[in-house]
Amino acid sequence: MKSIRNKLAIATCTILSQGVQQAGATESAWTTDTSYLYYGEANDRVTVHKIITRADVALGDYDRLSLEAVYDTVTGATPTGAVKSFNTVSVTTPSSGGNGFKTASGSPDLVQFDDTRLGVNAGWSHDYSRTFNIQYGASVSVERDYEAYGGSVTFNKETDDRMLTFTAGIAGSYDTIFQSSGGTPKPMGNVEENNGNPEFFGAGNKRGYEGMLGVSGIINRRTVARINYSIKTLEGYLTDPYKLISVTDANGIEMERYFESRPDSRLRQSLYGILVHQLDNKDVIHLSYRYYWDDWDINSHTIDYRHRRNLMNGRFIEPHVRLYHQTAADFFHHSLKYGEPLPQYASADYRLDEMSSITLGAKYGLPAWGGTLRFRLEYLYQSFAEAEYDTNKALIFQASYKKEFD
Amino acid sequence: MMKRLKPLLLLTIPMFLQACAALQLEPVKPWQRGILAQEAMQLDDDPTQSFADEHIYFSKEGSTGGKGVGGGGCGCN
Repeated sequence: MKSIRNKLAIATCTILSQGVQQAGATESAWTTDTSYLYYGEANDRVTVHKIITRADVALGDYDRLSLEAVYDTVTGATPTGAVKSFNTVSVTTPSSGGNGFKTASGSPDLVQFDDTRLGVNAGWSHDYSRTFNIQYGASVSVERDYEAYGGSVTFNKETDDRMLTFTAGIAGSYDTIFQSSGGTPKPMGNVEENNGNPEFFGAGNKRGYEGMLGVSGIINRRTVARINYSIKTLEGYLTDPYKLISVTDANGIEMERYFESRPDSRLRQSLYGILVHQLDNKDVIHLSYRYYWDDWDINSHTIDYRHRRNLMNGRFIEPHVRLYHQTAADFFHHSLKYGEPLPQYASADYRLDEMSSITLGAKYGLPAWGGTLRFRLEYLYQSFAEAEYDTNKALIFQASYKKEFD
Repeated sequence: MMKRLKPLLLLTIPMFLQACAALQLEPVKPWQRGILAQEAMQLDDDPTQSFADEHIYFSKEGSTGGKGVGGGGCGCN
């Protein structure tokens, strides 16, 4: 009996010492989580193999350090934005990645590429008082044609009864973009100009500034929720140096081909809410919704629902559905009309088109070797309103192993 | 596609009803937070999965963000 009382006292102290975000979850000295992810698109399009490893360690009573490393290999084919054509314009295709973009003969609309990416995120969390915490973050990501550096600070302030946590975050980023050849093409430059040697500039730079305000709270003994408002401004080179757009005649035959061009600023905002609730049968649901809007005229709705059912012996299964819809960017075009003046900004990138997508799948978890093993299998289906390739289908598989050490 | 998604959107109605049922406010003392302490009850109960998903959808959709600030970018295709 005394032992039970002691355990309850320890558990209560643990809960009292932690905030809403952790809501009393037992923290170990060390936590590691290693994961392999496969992402494969149908029709030999993009294939990604990703290794993620995370480590989180407590340093005394007030500090935690976290480190996350990711290594990607990306291969396959991706749409350039040009129309499927078998005629006129010879191909001067930009190169990308390690071995570059290589167009298959007669199909400038789809190019082969391969690349690798190494990214590292580091974080430090310090409790300045029982109810006030600051998290510092830094990130680096390097590809053969893209470099990204970022830093962030997040402030968390709890109410005295720890029912609510108010969060404010700021972040900055600096990215450098270039083709593997080292430069970026002139926006709206004709790929055929100068006998197939179009004008190139130096590497492009992109700066990002981000802010977030949020509040999370305990609703009742079995429910927690969170609401965030986020704003991010991007400035600089926001064009994709590999994307193209065709100029076609009335019959849709390609007459000319240009490098795309996007505005040099973007203001993105979003409202995000999530609810986590344990049902009477002890299943746990995660339901989230995000409304996003930006000044490129993209608005989107995202609904994400996970339903975790605990099985025998610490196992669980978690079906997942995600629904997404976005409007098109105001400068998105399937193609441009021959004989009309070129616009200042134009892109045929399918990701800027109106789209609907659905993800369906499930995760299965089980205890293994003193930790937790999880397997996830999902199917992603995207449908586009006008893009040359009007669908994208992908299979996602992820296997992860998490272990905690005292 | 949107027509095909309509039945699925209708399916989300029970989810929201469940969510509404969950929104009965009550004060919760520290010693009453045992359920909330479970790993599955955390707002982000699988950060590794969240991290992977954010990369996938950042690469394939025109919108991103909402959950927090920071994180590395990429020139994903």
